[in-house]
Amino acid sequence: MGTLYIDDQPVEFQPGDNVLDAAKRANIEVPYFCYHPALGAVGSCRVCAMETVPSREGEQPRTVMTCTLKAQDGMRFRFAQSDKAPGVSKTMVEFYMTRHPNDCPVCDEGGDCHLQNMTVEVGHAYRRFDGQKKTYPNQLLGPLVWNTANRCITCYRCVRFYQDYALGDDFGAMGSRNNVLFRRIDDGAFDSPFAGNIITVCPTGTFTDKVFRRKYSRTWMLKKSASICAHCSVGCHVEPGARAGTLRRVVPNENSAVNQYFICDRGRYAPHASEAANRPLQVKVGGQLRQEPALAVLRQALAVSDARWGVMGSAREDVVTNLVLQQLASDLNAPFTAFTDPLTEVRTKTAVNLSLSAPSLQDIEAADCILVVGELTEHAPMMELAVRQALKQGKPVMMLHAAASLLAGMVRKQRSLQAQTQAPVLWAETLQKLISSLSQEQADGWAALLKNAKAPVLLGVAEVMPTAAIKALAELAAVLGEQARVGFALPAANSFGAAQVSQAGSSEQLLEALERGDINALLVVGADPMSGWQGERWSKALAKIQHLVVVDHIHSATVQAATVVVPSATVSEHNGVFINYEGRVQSFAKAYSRETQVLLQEELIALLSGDARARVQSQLLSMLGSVMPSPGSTGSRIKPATLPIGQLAEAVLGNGPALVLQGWHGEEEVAGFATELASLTPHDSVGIAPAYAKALGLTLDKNSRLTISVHNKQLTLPVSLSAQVAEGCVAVSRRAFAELQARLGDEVKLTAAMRLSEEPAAPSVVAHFTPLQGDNSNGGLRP
Amino acid sequence: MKNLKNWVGEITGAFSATLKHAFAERDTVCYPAEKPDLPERWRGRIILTVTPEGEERCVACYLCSSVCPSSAITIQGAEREDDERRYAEKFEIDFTRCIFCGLCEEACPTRAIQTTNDFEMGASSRAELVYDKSRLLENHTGKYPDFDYFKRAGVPIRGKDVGEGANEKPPVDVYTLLP
Repeated sequence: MGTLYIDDQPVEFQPGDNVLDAAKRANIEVPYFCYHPALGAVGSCRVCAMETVPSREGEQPRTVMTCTLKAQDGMRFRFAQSDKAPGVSKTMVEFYMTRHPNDCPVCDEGGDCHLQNMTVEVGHAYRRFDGQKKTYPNQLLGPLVWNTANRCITCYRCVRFYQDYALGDDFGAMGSRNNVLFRRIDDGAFDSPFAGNIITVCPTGTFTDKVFRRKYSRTWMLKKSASICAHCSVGCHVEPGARAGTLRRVVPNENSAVNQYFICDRGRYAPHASEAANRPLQVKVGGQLRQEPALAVLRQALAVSDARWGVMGSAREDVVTNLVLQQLASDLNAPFTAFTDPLTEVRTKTAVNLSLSAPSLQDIEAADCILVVGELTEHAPMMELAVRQALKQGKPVMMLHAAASLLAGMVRKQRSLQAQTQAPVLWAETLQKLISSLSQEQADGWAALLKNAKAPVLLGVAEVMPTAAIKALAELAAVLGEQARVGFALPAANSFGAAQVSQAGSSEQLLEALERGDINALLVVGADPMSGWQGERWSKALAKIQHLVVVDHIHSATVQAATVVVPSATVSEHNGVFINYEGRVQSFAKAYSRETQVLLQEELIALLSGDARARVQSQLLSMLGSVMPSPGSTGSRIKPATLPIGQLAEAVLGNGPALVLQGWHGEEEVAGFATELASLTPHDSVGIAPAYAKALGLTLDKNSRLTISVHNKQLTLPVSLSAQVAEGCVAVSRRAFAELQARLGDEVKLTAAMRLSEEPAAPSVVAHFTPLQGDNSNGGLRP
Repeated sequence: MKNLKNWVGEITGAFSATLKHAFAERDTVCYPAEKPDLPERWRGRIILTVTPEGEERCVACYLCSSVCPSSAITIQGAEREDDERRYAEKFEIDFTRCIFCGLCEEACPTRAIQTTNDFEMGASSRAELVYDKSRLLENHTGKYPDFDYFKRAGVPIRGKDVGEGANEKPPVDVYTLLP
């Protein structure tokens, strides 16, 4: 804290501020281009000029770039009063504008453009230079980002984000001297899961949102709201923008303690699933579209006389919806669960119980030693971006994983990153070994790094970690002491909340009740049990029942099998509360209403009896505390009581190869219906380590194919040889898991199948962005 | 005496003016048999014009709909298949709301939207006064016979690649190291 003076006006600054930060805080409109709070100052644009006021006799006033000056108490500057500084800014902007094209009307940035604002601010209005404009070739950057190179003002923000902040390496500054431009070596989509942020950081229209471009609207015409991303458990703050009842774009919402300035590509593009052509938008009863209001149909469907109901909530629906459904179940005397898979339920609840001191993204960034268990990038990209910040500072990051992961792929470039592959069944044992070596005097390797760290952070991926490994990771944190924090990436946006409302073993009980025939009707809200881990069991059980009422906003397998389909609202279309992986309660607000009437999840409370409504109220109060966080605020963290967890047998170490999940960072239940994002889904393949293939007696190359046999099911896929897959494991996608009706850790038989012809080259999992060919009508994820 | 002088002056002055105008040339015309002669800059019925090459000028930039004080204009842009040039897929002017202020014409950077000196827009229902694109678009350049926005904008479109516009150098060779 301190005070400096700009034009004799006192300006307070925070520790770590530069002069530009302080001026911005005091609402002094200093022009700038290259500075960005997350990317730091480089002083290359020469626009944020101010003039110093001499403090000593004989000193001359100097024109300085304020972003490069650290704020110090008592500094004095002239800005508006200065004779020189505004001229410097104006001249610099005039220089930038000599080659900037006159295309604001056809530029998507227009109206939301930093360059436009700054040009108006410095007062540059007429072009004096009458020479020709320099032009630059555009590049095709895949389905998500649009490039118009002429608009670039070489502020380097994109490269500073992509390379320095997100540690990507397939995009950079090309050319030399005044021919510099920013592009990939080859055309095509970016490799980084954070590439969409170059749209946000670019102060001009050089990089714009290609999905938004297709349904463009000026940003001032958009209806916006403070919302929360619903596509992983991190709960980033986002701002959806909609017009005429359709979602147009999603951008990160700044000033939050969760994600600060950025979001991942899944968060940016997956919400466009709300505009999928096959989205259910009208009530459907017995295959017939109806015009009646959704709530009335739902009430009618629940009133059938012969039904014995079961109710299923969802980990991707908000807390209030799940609480209402839980009470609806008790009104109907029905079993309730918010999980589709017993194993995921056990793992989620175990992780939730052990997440009471989970690190926030800022804690992860500030950690001095990080242990990651599982493929974090593929499950919670923003959490992994925080890990990259620690990695960038040279802090040791250790990774234990079983399938190919973008983070593990950085091991060649990042010297402080160590990745070890191991089958998930062995993770608990490895972590226990770490714990025991910590207690020894002479700890070495990972144990030594963890022991010497002052603020170690342990991160796990709950969906792929065996329960024993989740417990072992938390135990490791306990052994490391209070300074260590452990957190888990949970399977869905509201997994934490869903765990709070479901009884122990609830999904198994519901499934068994269905299989026994105890219940003959099921209400499903926002879940897709038929394409989850237990898809086969659910499909069989649900085929037997008379009433399957599904409330959802995607055309999921369960919606297709339903007798009654009620369209519901997406996250941007209703109000609600999510609890993120650290137990942070965050509200989101509705941005827009669709033109066709869909059921808003908050309307479900109308189905409850008066008593049940009161119970929802009191439960909500006891769960969230007395104050509901307002949308856009960072919310407060809850520390719930330990949840009871049922017992469940998990996969054990077998002799043959075990199936592990090959995730992809754009993959999620809803994201699969976002056409543009899903078009980047990697080809299905079977990932196997070359050494392990050799040990199994398989001679494989890039054109080989393997047949996986499990439970009388067979699937032949091209091989992707990758040293990132653990020994004893074969890695396949979720889609392959569904096709094989297999579960995590299942033992499989591998046989060599007919080879692919020499061309086209076999697709590989590691080449993450080869677009999916052929039929993509199912959204690219489901079989 | 002074009052009398004023009184006579007023009466004779008024009568002489009346007499003068009684024989003067008429400003009123016998509309509709005779059409009035309106100036070029009259703000009448709004049209959408085309470039000299016959391409739609509108690029769906939304500036006219944003500046419109009575929110009479509704646009939704779309992109042409081959070169991704944006155009107005839907362009509606609700003339029951339009106040003919001409701000849309002033805001239009591509000179697509123009006012004309036609004011004969009578209709028997309100719905008829909501003009869609088929009724707005006219196949001529309007008041600006030579203007073609895309010749000057830096974006490539069909028939004009990067660096082929007016006042543009050919695109730089990204790979050269020569000075």
